[in-house]
Amino acid sequence: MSSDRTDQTPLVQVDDLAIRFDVSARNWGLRSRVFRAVDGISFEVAKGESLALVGESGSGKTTTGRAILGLYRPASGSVRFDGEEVSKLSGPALRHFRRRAQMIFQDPYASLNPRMKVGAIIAEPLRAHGFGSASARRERVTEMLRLVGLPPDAANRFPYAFSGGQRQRIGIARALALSPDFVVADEPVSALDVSVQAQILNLLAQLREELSLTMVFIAHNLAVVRHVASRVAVMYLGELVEIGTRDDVFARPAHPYTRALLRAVPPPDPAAGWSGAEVSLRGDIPSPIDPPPGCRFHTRCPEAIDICKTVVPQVQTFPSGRKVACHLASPEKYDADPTDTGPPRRP
Amino acid sequence: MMASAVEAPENALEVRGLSTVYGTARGQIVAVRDVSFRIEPGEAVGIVGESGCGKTAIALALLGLLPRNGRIASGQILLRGTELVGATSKVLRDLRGRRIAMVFQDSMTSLDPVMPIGRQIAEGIITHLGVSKDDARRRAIELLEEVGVPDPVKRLASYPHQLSGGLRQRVAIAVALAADPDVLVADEPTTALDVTIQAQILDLLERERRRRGMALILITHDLGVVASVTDRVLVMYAGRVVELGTTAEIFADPRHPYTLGLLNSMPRVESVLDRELPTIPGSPPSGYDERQGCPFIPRCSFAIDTCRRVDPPLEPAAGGGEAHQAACLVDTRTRRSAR
Repeated sequence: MSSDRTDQTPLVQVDDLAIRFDVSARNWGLRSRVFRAVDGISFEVAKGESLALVGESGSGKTTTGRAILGLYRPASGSVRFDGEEVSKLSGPALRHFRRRAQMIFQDPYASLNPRMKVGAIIAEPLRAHGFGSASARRERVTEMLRLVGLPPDAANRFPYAFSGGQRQRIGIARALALSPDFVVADEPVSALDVSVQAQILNLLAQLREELSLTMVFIAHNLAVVRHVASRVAVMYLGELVEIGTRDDVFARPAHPYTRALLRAVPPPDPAAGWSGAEVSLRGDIPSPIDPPPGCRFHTRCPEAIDICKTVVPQVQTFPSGRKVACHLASPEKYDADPTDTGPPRRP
Repeated sequence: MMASAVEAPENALEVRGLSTVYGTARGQIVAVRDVSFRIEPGEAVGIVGESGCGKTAIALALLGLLPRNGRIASGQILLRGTELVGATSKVLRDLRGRRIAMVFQDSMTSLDPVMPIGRQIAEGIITHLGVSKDDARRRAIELLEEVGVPDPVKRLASYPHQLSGGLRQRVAIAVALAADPDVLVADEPTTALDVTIQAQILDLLERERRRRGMALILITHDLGVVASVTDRVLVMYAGRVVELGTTAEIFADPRHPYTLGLLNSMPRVESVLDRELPTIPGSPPSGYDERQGCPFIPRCSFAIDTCRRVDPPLEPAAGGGEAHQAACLVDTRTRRSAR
């Protein structure tokens, strides 16, 4: 793919990361309970790559994204950014990291201060990091507005004057003002109208290319992921169940949960004959406080066998580099035929 | 049964020239403008559009639930021939639940947070069917079982916050189905849910519709949902129906530039597109900006001069199926004037 200008050095290395929240209600005399939001996941994000984290609510995808930015302290394991362990950064090194790693939020209504003018919103990270003089910052704000497709006079208005899509552009301008190398985009289009989503997806793709950004894109909508990600990581109940290139994961999903997610999306085509009955995933995602033994997915898995109920599946690595945590997956069944170059692409 | 039911026995619901307006601090908004459609018993009709297009205002008008600042300005709503516009609140209360019921997007707010779910279901059964408490309780258990709530007897005593989002929406559906309505209006019933739970809820609505021969009005912004569970579709923009037809026609042969744009701009799981997604420029209108001519003009790539003067009415799509209508002066296939 032309858009994949990746090299070998990983920018982000997540190693056996676990994030836990203490949710015990001690004063109520109840037993101590721990919410295992992320439970021992490992993956890397190469420079210039766009990795999508997908999964349902409660899968731990947002927690993972925030942990990479150092917003949560790992219970165990580590996140390394450019070789440095994020949770150990302090002082100037931490400030430097925060310049380089930014976040785009889901809700463009909640993430912009309604009492600040757009110019001040975009200039705030610049001010916080002591970027240039006031006039240099103003210039930078104008440049950022142009970059995201807003007129320069937007700087003098308040967020309420803008539509959802325009507000998301403002949020993107703020995230990119400090020229970060790395951005976590948490569901950046899911609060937007359908006709506006495509505009923002295109803008993100274009900016990623122009600014050589490395990106972690958190989404529940697999159709959206298809357009923004070079690699896809699928999470379930705090664990990584499958990670691989976008084309592998979409064309030959190796984990039953990935297959269920793909089938669950009703296609915009009445002739496809999609039926909710055939999605065959029963029940709800179990509680991360008390996850099922064995494979965490076995309570909902249409293919589960006895071993799945007791034995935690090890992560297998296929020859293609794809990783899958399922007793039933094998490269013979799900990896690409090396002679098959995949579906033809448009020029 | 109402004697007037014989007037139009073929329609579960008919809406004629419906307009609703909302009074706001910034002036009056016409949320729904001259909308007409009908739905047969057992049929599933999708109403699709973006925020502010008027799709929820239609739902609220159908149930007589418009907020205090909203009102029906004109038009008729015939539920099995019974006129709902201008009906007294007593009549509406009787019809609501029994003949027409609604499922909302957010089950956390549509269910009563301080009443056990068993009582919420039984309440409707007792009110509308006049059965005893014991019978109502039995019926509530059956309904919970039917909508796929595990352990229904135990669940009767649960409060909404003790259930997951998917289970809560199942309970909300059980409440709506309690008195066996002819028409179920579901307003974004799966938008707040995860995709795998959405699939379960869509399957449930589909099964109940078929089993009961109930008409379903499904309001959504999701074209995938519309494509997969409806027979016919109304596409709305700026309070108007801009295209109307069978689901198959609308998806295979969209005639309004807005429908066309929506379908093209949708990212698809199965696509191998590596290029930019086609987009519709701009954003949906706010409701305050009244303009002459077609409301879609600022975002339309097909517009011709006449579009600036004429707000096009719905008319049969040239060379389209019998019931396929679009509100556009241009034939999107040839980019020439259609009329």
